[in-house]
Amino acid sequence: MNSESFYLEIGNIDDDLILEAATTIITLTYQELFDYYELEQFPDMLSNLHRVEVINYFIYQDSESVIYDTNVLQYKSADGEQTLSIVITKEDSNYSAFEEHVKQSRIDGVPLVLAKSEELAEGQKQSVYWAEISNQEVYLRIVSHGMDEASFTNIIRELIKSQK
Amino acid sequence: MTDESIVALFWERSENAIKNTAEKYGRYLMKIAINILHIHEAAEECVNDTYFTAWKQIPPDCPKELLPYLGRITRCLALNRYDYLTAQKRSVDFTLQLTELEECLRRPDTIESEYEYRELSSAISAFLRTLDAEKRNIFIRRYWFSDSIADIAKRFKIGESKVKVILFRVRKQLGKYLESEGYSI
Repeated sequence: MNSESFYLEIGNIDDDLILEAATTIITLTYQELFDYYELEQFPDMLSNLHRVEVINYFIYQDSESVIYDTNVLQYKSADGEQTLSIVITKEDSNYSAFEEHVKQSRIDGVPLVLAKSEELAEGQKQSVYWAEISNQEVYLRIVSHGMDEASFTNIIRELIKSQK
Repeated sequence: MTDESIVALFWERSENAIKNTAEKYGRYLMKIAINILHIHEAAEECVNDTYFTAWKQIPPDCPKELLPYLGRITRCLALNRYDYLTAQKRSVDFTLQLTELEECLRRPDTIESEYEYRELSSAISAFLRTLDAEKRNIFIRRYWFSDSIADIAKRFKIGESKVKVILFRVRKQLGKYLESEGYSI
């Protein structure tokens, strides 16, 4: 076999290996994550919820640009009954999950999109509140479980304050 | 647009199939072709021929992942063109890559039957899975995407000499692995 034939044989390696090598995974610390998004760090406590420590965050990059940069920060109450997820991404929004239940609003002068839905938790109906805030470059999608509307709104207010 | 949607356009014989393929994968394919040929016009023709070949092959082909599928076509077309170039016009780096690969071969000048090559790429895949992710991806960047040593060093944030050492060791390991699997290539 000559090297050209061997080169072509390498061409037929499994797809998943090629796809893995096509992407670079960049590991970020909490600080680097916020530097990447050009945001101020979020508070470690939001109301009665504390941030769940995660060692590393990731962005995925091809040879020239970032292709996937969605990361999730988790907060929860001491008893674990209330949880909050903050999805941070530079990818554009998609409201399809909530369809007509989405409404435009404003908190402390900052425009945002709000939605509410119901879910069943241990046989009980529970409200899920959802908000999206954007500065046109970075999107924050915030989802709460086990919280009422006032608590959720207060947390959004705290988050907005942390960026001013 | 997802690969599935693009493949569906090929099956519908919609010209948007090529437009969307070019938008999503044009840059990747151009990089592979340039890495092999180092001549912009030839690389561009090669990428256009890739779209045309895909148009002819899908259907009946129905690739799940377009990047490897199209990349393989580009590699083959670019290698054919490389063969037609005079020694002076050939990419020095790609010629070097082929020379490096000879280190994995025991009998680089012999011609075997297709039967003897059967499952060789599966054996290479199996070998690559035994490596840690960094070594595996460096090998694939070099010999699948045909990246230069400098590009690989930049991508993995390591020195060029380290890239060369890793590639040298992996080539040796691969040669031994294939021999142990019964390939006398």
